[in-house]
Amino acid sequence: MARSLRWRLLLGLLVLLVSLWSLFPFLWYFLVSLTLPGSIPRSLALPSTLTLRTYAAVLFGGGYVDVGTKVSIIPNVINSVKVAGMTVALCLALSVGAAYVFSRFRARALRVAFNGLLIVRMTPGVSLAVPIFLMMTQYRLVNTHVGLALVHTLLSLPLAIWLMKGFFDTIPPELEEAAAIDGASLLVALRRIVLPLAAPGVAVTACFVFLASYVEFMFALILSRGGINTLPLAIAGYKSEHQVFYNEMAAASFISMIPLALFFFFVGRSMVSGLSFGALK
Amino acid sequence: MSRYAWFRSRGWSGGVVALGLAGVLSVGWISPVGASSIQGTFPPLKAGKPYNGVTITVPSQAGWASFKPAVDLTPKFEELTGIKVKYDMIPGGEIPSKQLLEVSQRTGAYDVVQQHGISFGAFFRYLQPMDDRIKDVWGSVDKFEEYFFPAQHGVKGKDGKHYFIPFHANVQIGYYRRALLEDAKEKAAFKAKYGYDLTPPTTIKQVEDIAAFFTRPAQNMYGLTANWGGGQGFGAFMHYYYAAGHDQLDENLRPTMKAGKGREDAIRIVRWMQEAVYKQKFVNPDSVNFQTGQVSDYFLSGASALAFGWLSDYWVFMQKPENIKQVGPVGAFNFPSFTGSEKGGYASWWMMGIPKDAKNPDAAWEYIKWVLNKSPQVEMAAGQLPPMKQLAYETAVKPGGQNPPPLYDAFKAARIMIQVPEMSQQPRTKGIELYTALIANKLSAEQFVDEYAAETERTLERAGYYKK
Amino acid sequence: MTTAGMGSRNRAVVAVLLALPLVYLLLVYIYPIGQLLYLSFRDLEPAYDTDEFIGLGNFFEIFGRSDGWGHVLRSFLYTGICVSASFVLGLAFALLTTAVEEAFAWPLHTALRQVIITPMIFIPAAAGVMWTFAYTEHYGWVNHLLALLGLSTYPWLVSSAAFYLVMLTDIWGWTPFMYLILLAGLQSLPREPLEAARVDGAGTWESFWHVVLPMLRPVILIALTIKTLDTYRAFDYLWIMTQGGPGTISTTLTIATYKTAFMELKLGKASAYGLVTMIFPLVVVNVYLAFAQRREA
Repeated sequence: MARSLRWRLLLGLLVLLVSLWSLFPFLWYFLVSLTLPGSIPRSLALPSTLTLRTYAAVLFGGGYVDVGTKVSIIPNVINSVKVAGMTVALCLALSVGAAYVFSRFRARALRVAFNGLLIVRMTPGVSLAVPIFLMMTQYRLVNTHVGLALVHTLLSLPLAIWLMKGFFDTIPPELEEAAAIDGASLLVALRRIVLPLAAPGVAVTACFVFLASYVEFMFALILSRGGINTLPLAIAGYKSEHQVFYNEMAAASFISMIPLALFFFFVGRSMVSGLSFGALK
Repeated sequence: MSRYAWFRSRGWSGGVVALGLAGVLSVGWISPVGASSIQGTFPPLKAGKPYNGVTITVPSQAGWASFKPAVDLTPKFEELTGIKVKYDMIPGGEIPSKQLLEVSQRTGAYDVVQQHGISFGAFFRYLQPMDDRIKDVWGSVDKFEEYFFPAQHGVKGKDGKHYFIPFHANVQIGYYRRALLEDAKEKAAFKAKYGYDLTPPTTIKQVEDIAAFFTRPAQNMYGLTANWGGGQGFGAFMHYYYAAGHDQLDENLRPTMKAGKGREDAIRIVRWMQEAVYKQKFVNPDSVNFQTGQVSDYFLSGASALAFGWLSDYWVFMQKPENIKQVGPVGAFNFPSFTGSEKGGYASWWMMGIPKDAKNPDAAWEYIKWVLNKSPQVEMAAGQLPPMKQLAYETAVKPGGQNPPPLYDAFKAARIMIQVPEMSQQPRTKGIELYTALIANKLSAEQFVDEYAAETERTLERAGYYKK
Repeated sequence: MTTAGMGSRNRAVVAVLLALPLVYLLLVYIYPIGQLLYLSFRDLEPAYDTDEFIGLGNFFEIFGRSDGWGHVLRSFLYTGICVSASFVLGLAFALLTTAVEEAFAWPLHTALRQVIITPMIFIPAAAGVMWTFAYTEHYGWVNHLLALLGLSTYPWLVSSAAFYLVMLTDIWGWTPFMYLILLAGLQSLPREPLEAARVDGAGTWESFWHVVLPMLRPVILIALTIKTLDTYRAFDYLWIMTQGGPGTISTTLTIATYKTAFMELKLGKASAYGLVTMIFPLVVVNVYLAFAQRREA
């Protein structure tokens, strides 16, 4: 039955439908990104000219297009990268050690603490929005990369600890026990033995934290005064009070897709299974 | 020898010197700041770069086309005064909230605030009073108020002092496609159908007729497109209501929409708007989502005969032949009053103030004064009405001005929406929420008007305006 | 390991390693929670320069005039519909992928997987604006398609359908997430029980329902819990596509909290909203933990 023709045809049809569901919405949008501002067709037809000039305008700003924003999106990308980079650095610094401790020790207090992380993870960000905003204002951290990175770190901390604990769990403790017998301190064992082995896991965690910060929208919206507009804000910002720049919006959207596409292409589903099983423990 | 004799002995050269001296002294007397201001500037900027090296932070609206000339000309200001300006470009919908949150926490982050007139009530507590600075430049507060349009009268703190200086004015007007309204064939057909000549509309009935006449589904064309989406839509309604001759509050500060003629007119107006979209269908359905930019876009693609919104932002843009290839020449008209009243509509009035905790208040004042100067006001006039009467007249009414005369007419008697400071947040936010439901046809005209009036009353009651 | 046999220096290291995130959470999480509780009972409005204690006033207002129950209902509606739909779809896609893998010799299933996860590759903000664009009357493909079919166009996002359209976008964007988890779960299932069932004569549907699903239960539970709580606090799509409108048709608790805080500038009331919004996740997490504890015991 598995390979009968009728079955295969049915599967083929389903595959087609699923592909339409996933890909069709992109089609028109992609065509719009290849058109000049001011010439989006008013019916379902190919635009009169297909050009990369809108992409050029979005990337480099300036006179590639006659009308439109003419403002480059690169500063926004840089903002996003800065914030995400700071988030990764801070988040990992805070979570590696704790994840290791959670992995190796079995005290009841630790279990409680670990479950407490779940509560932190599940708290709606919007609930904390007002207190965090007031705090950021008080310490002049509004509209700064550091301020936003601090919030993103909070949002990713539980996940980072969670993930890395999972990775540490896959490393047998015998090596550290051997090192302990040899007289090495915990810190040395962690640094010289465990971390190098867990490096791929740390890298994966770093990727997740980076991506989470990269796509984050709400707190970027709350804490930005224009100075630290990240990429998601810039994309949403093409739809302003006064005007909507659809072509640039489309081009910027597809450009923003690149890091995520690369991540999923290279990292693939093994990471997600790691994610889900890490959660099971 | 007497002084007189000394002059006489010097002959005519002495006379010239004396005349020159008198001239210099009298100029010093007329311009109170005296010879220590930069030549040719009014309001006068301090000469000698006393604030050289200072940086001021100015929040402004992201994507604001009509302020862009000022932003582009800022290097000139920096050159003249040595003050560096750092702009924070905030998305339009968030301008009041983001700036208010900043100044209310007294962080000193901003040296200037840029606000729409309707927000003044929320801000004035956190700003420095300007009366002394005003007297410095205009001589007296009365002269200052005379210099600008009447709308400025409404913008005072609860203590009666001025906290804001206007720098940008605007009003909603209508545009029409001259290629359609001036076409001989169209005119003949229109006259045959409606019995009067086709001209830019001067009554609401004419708007209906013209819009219905030009709604042609076969050509994918609607009669009218308007900025009836969200906050701007609420503003459009307010414009129509004010132009009908009403203020929001009567002399007892009760909402005029609560009862009587006010309520009747308000209901009539919003019902007209609803039916224009859903029943008569001469307004394109997407208008309920449109801000002015989309109105301009839609209109320029040839999809409608008439347009309504904050269109002066695009007037100069629309005079250039390369931008109007699909529509041909564009004309402007003052959107008629629903009751034929002479009163103006709702004035958009942008102003600047200086926060109490600003780090460089005096440098900030120099910046504000500079924005009011002929340059950049004339460059900005490409997308706005200068708020000062003289300059507005020059740029809109006198021939050669770059604005359409209807803009000036629509503005002359316009007022800002807020009559007491407490109205800056509510009932406006609630009003916008109710409006979005109304224009989506989810709320009846009566419900909208009554609930909005109730919210207005509640706000003022809470603020203590009604004596028990 | 326990700390029992460790030297004091190692114990100190353990303490510091744990303290790092703990201190951080204290500052950036615990303190704000405390402030949230404090502010919920105050009227804090910068626009009117008020800052005073008003007891339960905010809560009365939320559940009275401000349609708080409506917001709660809409939050649950949004969460319920989005989670169930993306679960069902995700499972269906996962089953399809496994079936395709078995049925075809060439790696069609890999290509299929890439196709299915494409919506997730678009960042939420970009997907939000893309769908907003799709529904515009003048330029969007939804109305263009309708026009092509001879139907009349419709201002989708300013109508009663708006809320459900945002849900549709959420489902479209997040199904890949469920899909990946369920697929990984499916493909790591041991073969024996399934084959044993087949040998016993069970049909496809029965073996699926009685063998596969029970084995998948832990994975499903995790996926559903995470997805439910993430969807409950969803902000991006709702804000970008409708801003909670038209009226309050698509205003969930999250949108209401944000609007009250950053548009109406009623910081006290917004804190009260924030508190209310936290109730459901707290309940869910506690139930989940109790359930998990019981399973381990």
